[in-house]
Amino acid sequence: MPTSKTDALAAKLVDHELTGGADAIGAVYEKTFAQLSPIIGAHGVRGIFARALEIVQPEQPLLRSFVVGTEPLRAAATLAPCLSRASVADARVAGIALYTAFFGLIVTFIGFELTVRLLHAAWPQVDMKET
Amino acid sequence: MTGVTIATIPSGVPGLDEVLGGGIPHLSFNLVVGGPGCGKTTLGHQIAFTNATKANRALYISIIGEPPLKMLRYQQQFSFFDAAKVGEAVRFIHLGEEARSGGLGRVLDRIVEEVARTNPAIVVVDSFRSMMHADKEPAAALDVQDFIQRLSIHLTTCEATTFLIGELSHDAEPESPIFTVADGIVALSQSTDRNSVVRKLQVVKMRGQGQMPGLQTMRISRDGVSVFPRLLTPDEHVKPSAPALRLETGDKTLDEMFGGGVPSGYSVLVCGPSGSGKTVLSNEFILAGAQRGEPGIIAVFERRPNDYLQTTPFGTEFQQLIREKKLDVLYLRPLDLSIDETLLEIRNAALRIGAKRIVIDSLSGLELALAPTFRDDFRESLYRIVGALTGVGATLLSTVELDDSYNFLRLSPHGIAFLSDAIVLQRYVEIDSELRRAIAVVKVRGSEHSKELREYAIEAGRLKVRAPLRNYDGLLTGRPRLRVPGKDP
Repeated sequence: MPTSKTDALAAKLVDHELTGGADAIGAVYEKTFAQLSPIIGAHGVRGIFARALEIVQPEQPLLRSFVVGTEPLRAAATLAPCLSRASVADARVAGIALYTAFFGLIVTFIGFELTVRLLHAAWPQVDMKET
Repeated sequence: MTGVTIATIPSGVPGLDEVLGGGIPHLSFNLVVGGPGCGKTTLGHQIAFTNATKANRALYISIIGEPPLKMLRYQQQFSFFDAAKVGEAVRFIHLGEEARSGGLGRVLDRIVEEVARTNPAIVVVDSFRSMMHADKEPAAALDVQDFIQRLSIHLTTCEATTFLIGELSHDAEPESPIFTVADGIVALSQSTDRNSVVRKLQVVKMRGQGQMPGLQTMRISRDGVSVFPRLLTPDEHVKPSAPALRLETGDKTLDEMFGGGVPSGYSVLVCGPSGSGKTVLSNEFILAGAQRGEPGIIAVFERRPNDYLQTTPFGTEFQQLIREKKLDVLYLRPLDLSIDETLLEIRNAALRIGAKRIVIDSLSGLELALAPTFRDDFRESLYRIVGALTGVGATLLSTVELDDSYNFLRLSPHGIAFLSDAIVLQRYVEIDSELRRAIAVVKVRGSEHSKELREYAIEAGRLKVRAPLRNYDGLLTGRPRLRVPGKDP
């Protein structure tokens, strides 16, 4: 479940990707997918992402029209278009909520330490230990 | 001609290297087989984490079966799981999608790709049984054989030591060619007897090594898998004559009854009814040794060590001896122990502190602590206990509860008196309407000893052996008769 640590991790990674513009918010999923799918399987990563969306959708109006894609690699392809009409600040809040739930589910299964260790290769420049 | 030397790598599983004949042969292709819940995946992880470094990586390939997310979740609970190694030293790959979409051919291609990319020293494939079910094409069996054969050749040429894990029984499918390809086969099993489960491991095959034959018991704990090799040292139990070195029991009169103390290296059985002072005698035996610089072990099967230390009159002295590493009190009370696990724990403790005296208190408690399946072989088990523990150079004193029956004299409920080198008997006797205690040294192998039946008391937690009960006949019948002077038979 989301904790202050997973919340901080999600915020850090969303902020890192948002430097490339709001359109890049789906990159957090894509990079996570690249790291985790060889280990837990492509459908496993997509399944967790879909569950995370289910959890946060009631609280996040901006995400209500977002549908997780059936193709695991492109599961977050429509995330950015969903958020395109929102301000960057609102898109950031929605993105952080979604990824907090996403990482929270992963952490529930394998713990924070191992999650960070597995994600680190995707964001080597982000200091995840401080989260 | 000098043959090639086969190096071995450690399994990281306590006891397993000994069973394997020295470790896992480097570059070998091994099968780990057994039913669900036997510990195959845990064993695979334990070997991988033990050996993996950044220079010698381990590649753990999961296919169909336990979801990898859950596998990582559960394996983290074991102390050998080092999260710092995940990623670089231990790399996890899931090939479920490949198995579903491309069958065995695709799985093999991906394994080859990953091995070429990561150059691992250890490869674990979990599980190959699921691959057999994944490929439903005609002639699938042939494909699986071909797959295993090609995988074996490829991984060997890549200089990897490999483990294929599968829910396969070498007993049920002995003709399977997979077993021929493998250099080593480790079979795990578990059996239920009443409420207890006993896990066993068998090294069916290990090319190039002299593995230990037979079934070994194993346990899965927070530290992962531990194996308890069968200790077979019967020869060490045979002693042609009483050794010159005698050990003091703590009571001088009792020493005299032994013919000058307990012969060193002997197995002594102290039998008596409840409350007769068997534990008192065994404690004095340990304390007498400690006072002469002979470290001791007390294996308790009836009370917890803290209770034991608090209730024994020598508790303070014992606690001091434990701090000085001259005494170890082992609490062994679960109801699913195997005899080998028990033996190893006592033997390892004895070797650790250089014990010269070992007490098992009591054999009756030990029998209860064993899983039911081992109780059937209790006599054989005791035979091995005596051999193994006296084999480390210690003198063993075991207590055993005796039925307080006066119709016949049986020195132990297990028929194990013949295994003992010396036997001390404690009995209650009624004299002048008073319950009194009597002690006799029934047997000291290869040595003269007293045949007297002496009265004894327990005073201030110590055994005090007194004068012989010479004026009575029929003491052991429970109906002693006062002998009238001048009317001796």
